[in-house]
Amino acid sequence: MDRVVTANFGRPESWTIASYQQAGGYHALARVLRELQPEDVIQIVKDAGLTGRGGAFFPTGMKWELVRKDPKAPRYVVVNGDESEPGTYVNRYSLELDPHLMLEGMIIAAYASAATRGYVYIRGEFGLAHQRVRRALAECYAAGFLGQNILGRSDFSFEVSFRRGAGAYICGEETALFNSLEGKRGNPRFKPPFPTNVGVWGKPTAINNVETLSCVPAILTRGAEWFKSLGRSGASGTKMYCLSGHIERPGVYELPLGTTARELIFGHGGGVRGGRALKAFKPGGASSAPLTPAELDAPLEPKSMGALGTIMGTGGVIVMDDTTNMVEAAYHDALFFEEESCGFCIPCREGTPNLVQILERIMVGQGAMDDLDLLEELGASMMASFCGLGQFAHQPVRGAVRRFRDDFVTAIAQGGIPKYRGRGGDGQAA
Amino acid sequence: MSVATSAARGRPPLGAADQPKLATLRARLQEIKREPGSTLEALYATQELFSYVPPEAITMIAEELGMPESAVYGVVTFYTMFYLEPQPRYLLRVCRDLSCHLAGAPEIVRAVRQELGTPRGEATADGLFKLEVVSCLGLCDKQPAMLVNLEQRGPMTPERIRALVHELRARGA
Repeated sequence: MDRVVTANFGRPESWTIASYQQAGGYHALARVLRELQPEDVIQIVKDAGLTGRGGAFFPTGMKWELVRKDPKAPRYVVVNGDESEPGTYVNRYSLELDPHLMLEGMIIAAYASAATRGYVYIRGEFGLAHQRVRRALAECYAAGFLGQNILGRSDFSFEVSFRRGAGAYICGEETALFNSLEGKRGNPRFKPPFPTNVGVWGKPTAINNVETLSCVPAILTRGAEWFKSLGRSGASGTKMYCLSGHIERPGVYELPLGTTARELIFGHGGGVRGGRALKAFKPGGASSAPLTPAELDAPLEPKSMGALGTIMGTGGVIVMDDTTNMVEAAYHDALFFEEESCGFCIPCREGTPNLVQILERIMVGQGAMDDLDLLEELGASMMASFCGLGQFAHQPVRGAVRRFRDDFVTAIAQGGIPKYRGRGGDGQAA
Repeated sequence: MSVATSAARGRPPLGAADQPKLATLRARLQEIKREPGSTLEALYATQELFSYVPPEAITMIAEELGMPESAVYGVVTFYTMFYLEPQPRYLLRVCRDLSCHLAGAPEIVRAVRQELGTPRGEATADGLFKLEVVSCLGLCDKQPAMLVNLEQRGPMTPERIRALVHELRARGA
C-alpha cells in the first residue's frame, strides 16, 4: 500500500529539511504556487474526501473555503498538535519524525484559505517535538517557504508562530485551544460562531490536526482519485492507527481508513499479548465506548463506529485481554475525565467525579444494582455539558455497562473486585 | 487576600539572591511580550529560572503583559505543568491512564515510591525528586511510560525504575 503520512519515517534525520527535500518535499507547494489557484486547491482537497483526522472528520476543503469566504482579516491557520487522548500517539510520531510534511500542508492550507498568520500549538509534554518543530520552522523561514513573498509570490505571505500547551487535555478542543493561544485559561467557547468565522483573536481560523495537514502534499502531488482509492468501506485515504494495552506489538500503523479492528489487532499488532483471548477493545481513545470481539470485523471508520454506538475517535485502539475487569477499565477512563474536566460547566465538573465515585464503590464492594441505572441517568444529564469533553466523558462508562454488564453485576453481587475489595471509597482505589 | 499573598502560600518573599533572576526575567519578558497572548511562554521562562512561579513573577508578568494579576494566577492554576511551589531537579511523571495501567503502571508507581522512600508521593528531602502520577502522556508505545522532566522513558519495569533513580542520583543536581 502507498503510505501518505509515514512514508519518510525511516529516512535518516527525517525531521530535517535536507532529508525532506531529498524525498521530494516542498515540490507540492512549489507546484501549487506555480500552477493552481486557491479555489483549485480547495476543490482537489474536497474531491479527495479528506476529513479531519483529529476525530471529528469534518471535510477539510470545506473548512478552508469557509475561512476564505469570510472577509475578516487576518485569517489564521492553526495546527492542533495538542494530542492528549489516552491511547493516542500518532501526531507525536509525525511531529518528531516528519514535521516538514505537516508544515508543507499547513502552508498550502494558508494559500487555499487566504490566511496570512498561523500557529503550531503542541502539547507541553512533547519536548522532542518542540525541538524538532522549532527547528523545522526556522529552516522554512531560511528557505523562503515561510515569511514574506513566499517563493517569489508577491501576493502570498504567511507568518507562523510556535506555541506550547502546559498540561491540559481540554486544550485539544479547538475553542479552548484558541483561548490558550491568547494567553488565557483553556476554557472552551460557545459554538456557534464556529472557528471558520470567529476563531483565534476573533478572526476566521482553519484549525487542522497534524495528520490532516500531513495528508495534503501527497494529495496535491498524486491527485484526489489516488487518495480516495486508498480508503476502504467508503472512506477516503489512510489513517494512522496506533495500538496499546494488551497487545503484542504496540506501535503506529498507517493503513487504509476503514481497516477492520481484526486486521489491525491480529494482523499488524501481532494479536493479544501472550496469546491470551481478547475481551474488549476501544476503537479511538478514552472517549470511545469499548467493543466486543464480535465486533472485530467492523471497519474502523466514523460511520461504522457510529452505527455501533461508539466513535472512531483518534484511531488510538486500546486492547484488553480476558483478565481485564471492565469495571476497572471504565473507572480508569472516568478518572481521566475527572482529572481533565476544566471545571467551567456544572454537568461535567460535577458529573465526572460522580462517575468515579459510583465506579469506585462498585469496585470496593459498596455498590448496588441501582448504581447501574444511576450511571445511565448521570450520563444522560452530562449530555448538557458545554463542550465535547463532558458530552463524551460518560460514553466509555455507559458503553462498558451495556456491553459488559456481567462484570458490573458480578462486582456488585460478589462484594467488589478482589484486589480492590475492602479499600475505602476515598480515591485510594487507583 | 491579594493574589500575590495567596500564591505565596506562606513562603517568605524572594531574597537578595533571587534579584538577578528577576532582572533576567524582566529582560526576557520584553521579547516574549512582543508576541500577543504569550502568557504561557512567560510562565515557562519563569520556571526555567526559578523551577516554579513565585508571586513576584506573577506581579511582573501582569505588569509587563498588561493583564490583571488574577488572570495570570488563573492561568498558572489552570495548567498542570505550572507550579506555585519550588520543583525538584527531576520531576518523574508516571502515566496512570488505561493503556499504561493495563501494561503495569501501578507497579511502576509503587516502585518509584519505594525507591524514593516517599510513600505518599511527596518530594524527596534532598530536592532531587518528586513523583507525579499523571494523565496520558502520549507515549503509549512505550507503555508503561514516564517522563523525567520532558525526557521520554519506557517501557518501564520496577528494575528499570531502580536503575533510573540510581543514575539520576549519581548525576545529582
